[in-house]
Amino acid sequence: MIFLIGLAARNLARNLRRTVITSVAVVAGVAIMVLGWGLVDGLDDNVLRAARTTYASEVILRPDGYPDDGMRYPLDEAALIPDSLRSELDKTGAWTARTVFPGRIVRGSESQHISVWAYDSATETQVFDRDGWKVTGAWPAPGKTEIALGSGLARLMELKVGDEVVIEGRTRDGAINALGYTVAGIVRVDNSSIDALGVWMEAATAQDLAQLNGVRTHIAVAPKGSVAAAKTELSGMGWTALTVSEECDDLIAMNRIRRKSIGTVVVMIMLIAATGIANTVIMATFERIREIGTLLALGMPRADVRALFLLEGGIMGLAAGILGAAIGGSAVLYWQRHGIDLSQQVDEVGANIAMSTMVYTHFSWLPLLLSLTFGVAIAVGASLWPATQASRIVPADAVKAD
Amino acid sequence: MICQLIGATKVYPMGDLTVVALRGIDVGVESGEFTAFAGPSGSGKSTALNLIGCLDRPTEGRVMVDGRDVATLTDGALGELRAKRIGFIFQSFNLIPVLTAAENVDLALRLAGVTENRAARVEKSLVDVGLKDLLHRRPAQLSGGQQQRVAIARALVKNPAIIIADEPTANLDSSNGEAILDLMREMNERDGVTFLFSTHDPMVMGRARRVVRLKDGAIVGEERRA
Repeated sequence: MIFLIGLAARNLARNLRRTVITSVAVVAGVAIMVLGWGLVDGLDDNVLRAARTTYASEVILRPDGYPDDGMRYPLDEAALIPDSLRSELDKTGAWTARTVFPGRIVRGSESQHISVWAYDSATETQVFDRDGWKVTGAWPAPGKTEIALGSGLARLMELKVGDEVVIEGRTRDGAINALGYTVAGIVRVDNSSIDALGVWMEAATAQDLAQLNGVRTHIAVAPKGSVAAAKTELSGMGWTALTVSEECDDLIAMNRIRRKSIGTVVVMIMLIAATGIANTVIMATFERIREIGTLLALGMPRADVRALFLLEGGIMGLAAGILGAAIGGSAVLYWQRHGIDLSQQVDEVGANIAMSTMVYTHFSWLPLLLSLTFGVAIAVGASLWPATQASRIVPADAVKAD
Repeated sequence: MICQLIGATKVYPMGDLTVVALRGIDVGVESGEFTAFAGPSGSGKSTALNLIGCLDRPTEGRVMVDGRDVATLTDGALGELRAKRIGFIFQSFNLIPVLTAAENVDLALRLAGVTENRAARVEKSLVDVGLKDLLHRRPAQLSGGQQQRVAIARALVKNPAIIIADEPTANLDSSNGEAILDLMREMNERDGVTFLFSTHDPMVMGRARRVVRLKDGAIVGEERRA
């Protein structure tokens, strides 16, 4: 077999240009497969990171029946946290409660829909590591009529620290209220949806605006133990608990569609590659009929002749696959370290997606090995028919072929 | 008798027609012979060589090689028989272009299943044909005469029962052709190697000790010389 591998490698090298041209499609297919998977895996990580670091932590609870689409925040469906749940939350780990409700920010003649995030500063930092958020100015001081704005919203409204704005909102009873606030800080959050629409204020400050009276729409929990166990323990007390993965299931499902789309593109490229490889191996058999006849005349078994041409396809696929995997893997590793900053694109299109604008690809060996295997399998598969035809040549005719 | 055609007929289909290449010929080759199948193009000499060399099967009749009826052998067994007992020299040399002279010769040993002492046998074989200094050259780096010498070394190296050479000098100039024939004859006389070759060249026929003449697929004469 080693001899056959060596012979196959030399045969490929004797028409190097054709081998290289044929291999390009396999290189491209494998590289796109590795990079695409790394990107989609990175998007999965991104979605989870955005949820984990900005609103859900590891487990998020909402009042039973409260919409979890991340678009509507009906205040009339907010609920008080029962003592039994508080007690269970204290046992589970760190937690913080928030009340999110819709509103409108007004500055002069301009206004914009917003979501107000009322938080409890005493517990907020136990759950969320705000050090990772870029803050210009400061977080609202307790007891003052101050707010912090998402940077996207601040840019849209051309607001800066120290500006005065009016926030309009409805109380739980439906009464319209409007109060003046000072912009204390502008926050760049790792979640473009919140960054574009979010306004933060202390829960005590929000009381005056929306008459919350202690109702909450979200509880974010950072459990001491396992996430699954925390979810189970916190369920069934009038609030619905979801792990962060379940919370992001819709977006991750979209990523699954992206992965399939990439897979379709890769399959199409690989089919082109397979056609090229099959063509190359067919040409090789036609060009080398006399050589095949000689090998058969000298007693080489037909199975070895077949194996020789399969090896030629396989080596081509392996070499191209390794190169493609190296190119794709290098790109994934680079962007895993440096990230792809999509903030400008997100700002330009005004995207409102619950994910970070900084996308980090995700490197893992599995897609690398799978794509490499796929590349080799395609190459060997494409060589199968011509290799079989080559092994069926009649040596008496073949040894005299031109 | 090393090999024998008994009532061998070979018919090739050609579209709706058939071409009869051999018409029930009987001929055998003894060990140590230096025999030529002679005749014009289309006389059936190459077809006869192909049958004796187990590269093809007769439409009718029998082919005996080493006392075995090749009709009873599978494709794999035929390949093994060729690998171990029959050496080939082709008109167009038919060396593997990506292998060096030594590797081409070694290929024959490898396919014959020889595992021991291969390098020494390869070297001796190439030295015997006068290519001592060209062991590591590829066919493209050798002249036609040198390539045919490599082919002879490749045929010889496994000590076959018979070497079949189909017009071995046809692609060589006269001096190279004569030199190749001298080499084959020397090996036949010195080592007792059995050669069976085809030709339509009178010079080549003149070197053979036995000439079997074919015409239109039938044997039309035979000459033996001392």
